[in-house]
Amino acid sequence: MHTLRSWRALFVREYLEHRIAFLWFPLGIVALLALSIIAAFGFQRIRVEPFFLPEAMKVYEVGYLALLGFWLAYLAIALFFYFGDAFNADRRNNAMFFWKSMPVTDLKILASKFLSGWTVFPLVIFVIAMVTGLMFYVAVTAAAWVLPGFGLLNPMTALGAFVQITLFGLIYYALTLLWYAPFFAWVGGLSSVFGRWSLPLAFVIPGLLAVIENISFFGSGPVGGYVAQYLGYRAQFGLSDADYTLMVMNSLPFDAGLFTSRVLASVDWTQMAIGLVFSGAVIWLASEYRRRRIV
Amino acid sequence: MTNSIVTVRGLKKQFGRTEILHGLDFDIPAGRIYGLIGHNGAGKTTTLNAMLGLTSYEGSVQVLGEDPYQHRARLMKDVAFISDVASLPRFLKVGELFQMLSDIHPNFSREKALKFLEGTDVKLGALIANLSKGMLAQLHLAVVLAIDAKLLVLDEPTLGLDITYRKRFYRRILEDYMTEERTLLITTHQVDEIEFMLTDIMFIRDGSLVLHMPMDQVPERFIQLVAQPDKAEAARALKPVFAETRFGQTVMVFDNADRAQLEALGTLSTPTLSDLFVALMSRDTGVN
Repeated sequence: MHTLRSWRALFVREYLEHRIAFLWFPLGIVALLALSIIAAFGFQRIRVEPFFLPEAMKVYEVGYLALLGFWLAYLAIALFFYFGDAFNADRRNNAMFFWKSMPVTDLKILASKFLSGWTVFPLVIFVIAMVTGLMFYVAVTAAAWVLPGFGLLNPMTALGAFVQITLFGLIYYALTLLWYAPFFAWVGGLSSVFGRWSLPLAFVIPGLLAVIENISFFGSGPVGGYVAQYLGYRAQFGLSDADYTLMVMNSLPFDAGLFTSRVLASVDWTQMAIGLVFSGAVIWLASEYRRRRIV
Repeated sequence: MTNSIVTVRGLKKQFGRTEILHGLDFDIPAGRIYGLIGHNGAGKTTTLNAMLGLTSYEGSVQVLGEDPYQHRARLMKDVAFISDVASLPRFLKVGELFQMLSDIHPNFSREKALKFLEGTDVKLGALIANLSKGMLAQLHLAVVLAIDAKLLVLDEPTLGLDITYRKRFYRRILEDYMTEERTLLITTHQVDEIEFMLTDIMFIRDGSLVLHMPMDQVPERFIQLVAQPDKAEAARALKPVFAETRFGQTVMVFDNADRAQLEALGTLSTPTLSDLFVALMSRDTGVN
């Protein structure tokens, strides 16, 4: 029981320390979006070219998917900066002394930081993305009243689309985080040693490795070298362009099952597992480094 | 000693090629108030850090039966410390800090912490980053006192505080922390301010212990003599550990000297802790 409370406290601590980036700033964006929608209707700035008037439902589906994509991009950037600092943050203002006076291991503290970045913050951002999805429903419904021929959104059908897209989004977010976990662990591990210099170093070190490989084995490997090729492969994730085209052009309602099965089929599970093992190893090494540091 | 809560044997620490601690040996029994006293760079903080599991070391250190470096987290259930710098997490409010400690620390009592803050200007809704130095010290003291720790380690806890805060700080520790089962270890440069509360002293110089004894044995062992002007040379012949001239008077400190012999040479007294510190920590050790 105490162990659970201890984990919860560490998650809450991370949340309190980073709520500006993962809650207040996103809420500011939501407020800005709401304001711009209200302004668009208030000043009658809604205009759709007469030759292009898609169905209201399709507009809603594509819009909500785009919003999920926007928030995923925001999450990726925010997590990059989070991991570029979080593992090192306790060294600021001598806070390391305080945390070392707590009955918590360095491994547990770093694991809580990693898991916060991997679960708590994405969940917060995902809930905000859902809120913007609901806001977009209100906007499309309002547009249907303003634009003749646009067609009204059936609330039940819209709710069905909302649930389908939300489910798909949740799975897509989870898989994306699993796939890119080693990258975030890499940035976090570097930050425990180099602080915020980890942000450029996360790219500079692999870049240098690729250059050294090319200098050493020039011509004998694949174009760009093994390192660059592997990292290029590891950087790719998600649906194909054809899938995205289908999402937009398909006249049928959005089918979470179809697109989930496609994204699941595209995952290289062996690489996923290797990435997770790598992440665990980096966090352990970072905790051993932290164990030897006071400031 | 069988009831030692700290046992240190052959403690050495190197930074690069420089050896900072040269094989310290000491025991700290329960229920005592220890003062670890030394110059800047003498190795006080390194010794404390080794005892708290904050740094690696050579030799053997056992605190409450645990190897602190291997089991720091487990040890911290029964050990609390305040380092020489403000270290409370600045992004938290006081109330959030107490809530977090309640969840993380099995021996922390929120009720006790609130009680210790009564009568101070520290409010639960205050952001720690906005607290003054004195308030931070009061808050940190409330936190460590609210932890039911068997060993409390204070490394220059009152650095930068004014004398009112310092006196209140130490009084509070005596009143609210000390019991027969609890042990306190303090390092500070303001030795006069803690002399009244110490039961034992350890002087550390250049990484070695030069003195380790109970305070009540200090008068038996050390004698301060203000020598009569015509008997100063005779007193010097008895090999004081320290001698200096203050306002025209020759003051000497003797270690294990014959009291009867000294009484004939001037006025005798027990050196204060700061006098003893100056006497024993002078780098050329012997008579100045």
